[in-house]
Amino acid sequence: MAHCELASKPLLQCLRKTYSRGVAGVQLQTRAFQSTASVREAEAETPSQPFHKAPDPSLVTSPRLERRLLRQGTAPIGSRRRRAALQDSENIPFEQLPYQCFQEARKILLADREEKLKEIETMRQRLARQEALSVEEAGGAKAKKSRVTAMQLHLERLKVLADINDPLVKRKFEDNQGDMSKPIYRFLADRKWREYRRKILVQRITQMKVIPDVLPHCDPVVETKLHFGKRQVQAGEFVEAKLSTSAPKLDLQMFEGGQKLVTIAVVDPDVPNVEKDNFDYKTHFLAVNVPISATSTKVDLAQLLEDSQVVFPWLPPVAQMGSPYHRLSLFIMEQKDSQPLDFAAVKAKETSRDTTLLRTLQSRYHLKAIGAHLFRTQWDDTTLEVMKEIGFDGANVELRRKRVEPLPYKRRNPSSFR
Amino acid sequence: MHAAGMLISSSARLNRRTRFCRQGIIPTGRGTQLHRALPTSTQHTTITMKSLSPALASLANVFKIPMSMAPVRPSISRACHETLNRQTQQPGPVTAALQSAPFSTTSAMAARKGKGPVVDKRITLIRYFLHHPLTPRPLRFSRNRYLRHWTIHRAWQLFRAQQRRKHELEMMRQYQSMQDACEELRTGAGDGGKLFRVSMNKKGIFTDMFPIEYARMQTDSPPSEGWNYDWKRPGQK
Repeated sequence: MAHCELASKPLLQCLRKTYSRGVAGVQLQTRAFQSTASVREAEAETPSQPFHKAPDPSLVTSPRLERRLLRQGTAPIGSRRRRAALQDSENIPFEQLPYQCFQEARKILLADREEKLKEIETMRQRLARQEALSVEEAGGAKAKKSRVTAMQLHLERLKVLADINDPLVKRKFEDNQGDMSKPIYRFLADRKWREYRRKILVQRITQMKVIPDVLPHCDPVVETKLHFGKRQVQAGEFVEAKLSTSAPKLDLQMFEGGQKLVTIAVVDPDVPNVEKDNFDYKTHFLAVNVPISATSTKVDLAQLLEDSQVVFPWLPPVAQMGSPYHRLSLFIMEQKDSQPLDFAAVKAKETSRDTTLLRTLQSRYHLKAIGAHLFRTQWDDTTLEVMKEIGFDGANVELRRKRVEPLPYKRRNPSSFR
Repeated sequence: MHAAGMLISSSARLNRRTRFCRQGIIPTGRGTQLHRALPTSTQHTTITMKSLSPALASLANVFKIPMSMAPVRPSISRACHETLNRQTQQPGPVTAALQSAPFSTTSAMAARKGKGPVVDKRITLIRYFLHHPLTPRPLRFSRNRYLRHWTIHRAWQLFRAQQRRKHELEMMRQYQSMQDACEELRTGAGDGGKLFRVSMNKKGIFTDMFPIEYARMQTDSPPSEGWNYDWKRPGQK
């Protein structure tokens, strides 16, 4: 017997006594907090093989079996002491752990949840009654609409409040097992996103001046992640030209219920124009009528439909030698009332990548920016190859800054000094 | 002149700090004093205990069991004294002036060539006490225990909020019933509201015994302007 088993023996014995007395009766009546299944239920199946043949990584204690597990590639879970303790303990679900203060606290929380559920029910009925009223009875369309919206907001709030004190919800969310179709998990995810990652994103797109350059304003409410192949690109990161030859994959996490149709555009505001001594815009990608929802988040820009979604297919971004870095800004634009745009009309209207401005699109199709992302590209070793591949003219050109003659009083050694 | 003044002020600051330490939270030599009062038999046991283990010693220290020879955690005042007095050289007036700048934690002269890195004394002290073996370890919870703690915390907050709400509602109810009673008196008594007007008259209230100006919130310290000797009771000339 190992050290730890000896050490945990008396503790286990005393625990076992407590459990066998207290818990069996509690089992059924305390299930009510969660409608979802208990955490431990999966472990109930009986093993067909003896333990030493197929050791469980969460229960194994003897060093020999541990070593064998490690050789097989699975690391044992937790400390050896913990595993030894788990071997002999009954798997009591978390919410039934016999701690007095904890159980008292759960009683309070459960009572509160019951109350909230009742409130939700009454609120639903009131909302239905309000919606059933005719416009004259409600005192005008505007008043009715504002009242209904307020009620819906309150209802959403109540739904979140009913579950926010549940420790199992918290645990599931921390394990990233939250079900995004439920309002509570969406709320928690939104809060977490706004705590740090959204701030970073907003900082990047404002500091790199994407916001006034491409669009006048954007308030991101959709979390956007960008992958080239398997590599995730942080907002504002430099991406090798070779990597960005194929269209990226997006992960658009909405935090509201329902489905939305969005327009996705990738715009480069930094194309050097030598004649005008200025920079031009270029649309590297444009797709309309892309459905997103809180549960279906993955959008592969290469997999979108050619005949009903993609207006401009992906054009690999390249930066000419000597030009300053290019900001490739990606915008997720919500279409008005989630109505699909007429694809054929859009395709007919937007013909050139160079003349399509995102501001124009926004006002023409009544779009609203709900998400943004950004990556940068600059001249690197692979750019020339990519340029040849896509037939970029001007691959052999190196841009130089025009030498600006300093003003006389700023010259290092003007004649007046001599 | 100015520089000398700064020097004096900085040394005064130093003095204040040491004085604070001397009156600090952990009194100096507590263990030894208690030990002196003990009978010899206890002394003997403590000495044997000392040889047992440092864990026992630290437990004894936590539970304030006197142990004379045990590795008592060094008192803050002594350590502070030693560290603060361990100055390599008296700082010149310029350095002193720079060091007394209110928001700087390092001296500006530390960047000069030829001098080694100057470590702040306060950091030394913090590190010393933080990593001392007798400092209790930080409070860490396992995941389940943390979740239980969180549950209890949330329930307590919820309970407090419910209590607050109940109290507020009770106050509101009382206020409104009082208001209703007044309204009833004004309109329903049948005397044109005379009774109400008379009862609302504030004459003679808080003027017969002591003036209302004397009533003030209980505070820890006296008011900043002290006593107002010119104050007269409003009715008096």
